Amino acid sequence: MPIKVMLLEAAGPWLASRPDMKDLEQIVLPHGLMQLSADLKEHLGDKVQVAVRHSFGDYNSDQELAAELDRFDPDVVGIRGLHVYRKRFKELASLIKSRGKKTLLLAGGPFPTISPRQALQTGVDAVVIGEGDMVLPSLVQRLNDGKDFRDLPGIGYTHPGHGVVINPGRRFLQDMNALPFPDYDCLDLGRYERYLTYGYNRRRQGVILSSRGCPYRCAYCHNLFGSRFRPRSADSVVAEMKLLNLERGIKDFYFIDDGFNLDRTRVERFCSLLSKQDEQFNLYFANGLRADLLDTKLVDMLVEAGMVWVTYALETASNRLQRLIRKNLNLEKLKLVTEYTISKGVMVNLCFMIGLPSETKEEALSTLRFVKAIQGLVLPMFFTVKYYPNTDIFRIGLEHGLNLPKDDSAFDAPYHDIGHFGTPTLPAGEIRELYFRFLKEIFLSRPRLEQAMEIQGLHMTDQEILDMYSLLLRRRIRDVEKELIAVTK
Amino acid sequence: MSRELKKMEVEAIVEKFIKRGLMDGQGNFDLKADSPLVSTGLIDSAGLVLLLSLLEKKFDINFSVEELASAELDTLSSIVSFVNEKLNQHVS
Ligand code: B12
Repeated sequence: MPIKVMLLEAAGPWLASRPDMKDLEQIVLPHGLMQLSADLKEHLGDKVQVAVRHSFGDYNSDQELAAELDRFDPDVVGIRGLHVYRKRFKELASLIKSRGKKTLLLAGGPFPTISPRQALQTGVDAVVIGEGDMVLPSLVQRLNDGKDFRDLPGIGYTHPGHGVVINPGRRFLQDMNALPFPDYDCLDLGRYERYLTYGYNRRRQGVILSSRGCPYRCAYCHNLFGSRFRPRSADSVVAEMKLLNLERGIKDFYFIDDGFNLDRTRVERFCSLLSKQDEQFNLYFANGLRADLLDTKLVDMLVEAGMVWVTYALETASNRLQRLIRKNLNLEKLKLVTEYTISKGVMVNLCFMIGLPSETKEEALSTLRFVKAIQGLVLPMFFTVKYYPNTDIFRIGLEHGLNLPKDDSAFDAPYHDIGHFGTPTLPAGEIRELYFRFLKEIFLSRPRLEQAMEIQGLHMTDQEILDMYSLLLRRRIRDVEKELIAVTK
Repeated sequence: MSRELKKMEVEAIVEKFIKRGLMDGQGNFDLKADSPLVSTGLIDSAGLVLLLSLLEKKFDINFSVEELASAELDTLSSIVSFVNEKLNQHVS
């Protein structure tokens, strides 16, 4: 009998706030779990059977999930989650434990990696800190052999006598090319087409991670994968895409790297490989490219290779704050590259943050002016800073007198959500005003909408555009011209 | 148009806007003057700004960003009186 492993993404409603809007939710393939499934199958072959499930996208209720647990009857369940879903984590842990079976319950991913002790309090048996690619297969092998696994590096658990034990010795993978391609057989790809992708369409999605690690030290990042950039080769990435296209008809690929373009030679090779092939893929750099490492030549190459969507992260137009958050972006370069990318008909998502430590109203307004001055942005995005414990920005915030609410609401809200969040230099009321200014003068400005629509029309169907604005405005839009363009100024 | 008529017109526009934004088959309910809209997710900040933009166009009025941000606009009646106040200023 093979060991049965269910890997479960802890998730819940996010941008589409009402239950009747669930079909508009953006649900990204649980890439980390698909990678772990491939790792398990590579190491254990037919000694293991894996199912990857999305606790929100795959079920309409926890009863449905419970029924599937009964059918599959896993020996091991591994939950992945972000901090924002830690309550969900606990609910899922209770649900699994309440089945009364001897299921080993593991936790991994961003929340358990950053806050292992808190994750252990959700009722799981053990946490896996950091990359699970080596540890999880060893762990399941030990189970298979009837051996204890609690001495493995990077494992955390509660010892009855000693309290929480966290084993040292975890290492990052050295050779990313040695990893098997993520497994698409462990889930029902078709189910994800009921929701929106990272590019606001319902097309069959491929999610690609072409590297791990990032040497930059941006103060707000959890930097899960360490500071050394560990790329896969361009050839391996393109081979994975071709295989997904051939076997599953996927043409739309979403890149989730922290630093896809940190190595220029690799990007050039990647582009030239894709440009040479007959089949045209759509590339979405949804998690962003670092704009000041690009230039017109490289943008041309990326467009030629199929780039239709790119996210650039401005964060702030203040050089002082760029230094404070250690992003140190070359703002002039970002502007030039963004404008050039737009001129090539690419959909550009430009993100910025408001509420940085010591940020003044004038500095925040300068960021809004910077964004407003760029014509043709498809998606300008207003974020409020989320102060996560264990990040440098949290510490810097405290040094600047930040007084966070005790209830964690400072980091639980979605991207733009303003809630009651404020800083000593930008009180909640000011942030609210900045958000309304953004909505009125930038996001819902008629010239921007018209320019955006022209570019979106090149890549998106009418229905996709309607779905995108329905999600962004959290209301069903049936006619962009009548309901958006005609009523804005 | 009398003030009362305008008020009714604003009310009708707001109600239609909110119901139209809901998913098909969801709009069959009685919108009460004081039922919470923003805090219940029936409408969100971006939707609110869109609605006010529609009213600005319709009645040829203008809300400043400061006015928008400082107003508590969580119910049909608060939105209607916010718009009405502007309309009255406009008339006088
Ligand atoms: C793609 C992405 C998104 C997508 C998809 C979200 C998702 N569910 O993953 C979108 C755009 C929706 C998104 C949004 C947000 N994101 Co995001 N996102 C990412 C990104 C870029 C890649 C995630 C990924 O797939 N990585 C690749 C896989 C291979 O990594 P992995 O899942 O961590 O898995 C590995 C290990 O962790 C481990 N592992 C994982 N699970 C398990 C389970 C078990 C049992 C075991 C043994 C091991 C294990 O093994 C895996 C293989 O090595 C990461 C950055 C990053 N570098 O990971 C940020 C990141 C996950 N996001 C982050 C944040 C903060 C957010 C937002 C909350 C932002 C906001 N304030 O609005 C929202 C939340 C949205 C939501 N509701 O889910 C933070 C999370 C911090 C935290 N501690 O929670 C990250 C880490 C960014 C950062 N560097 O700080 N995001």
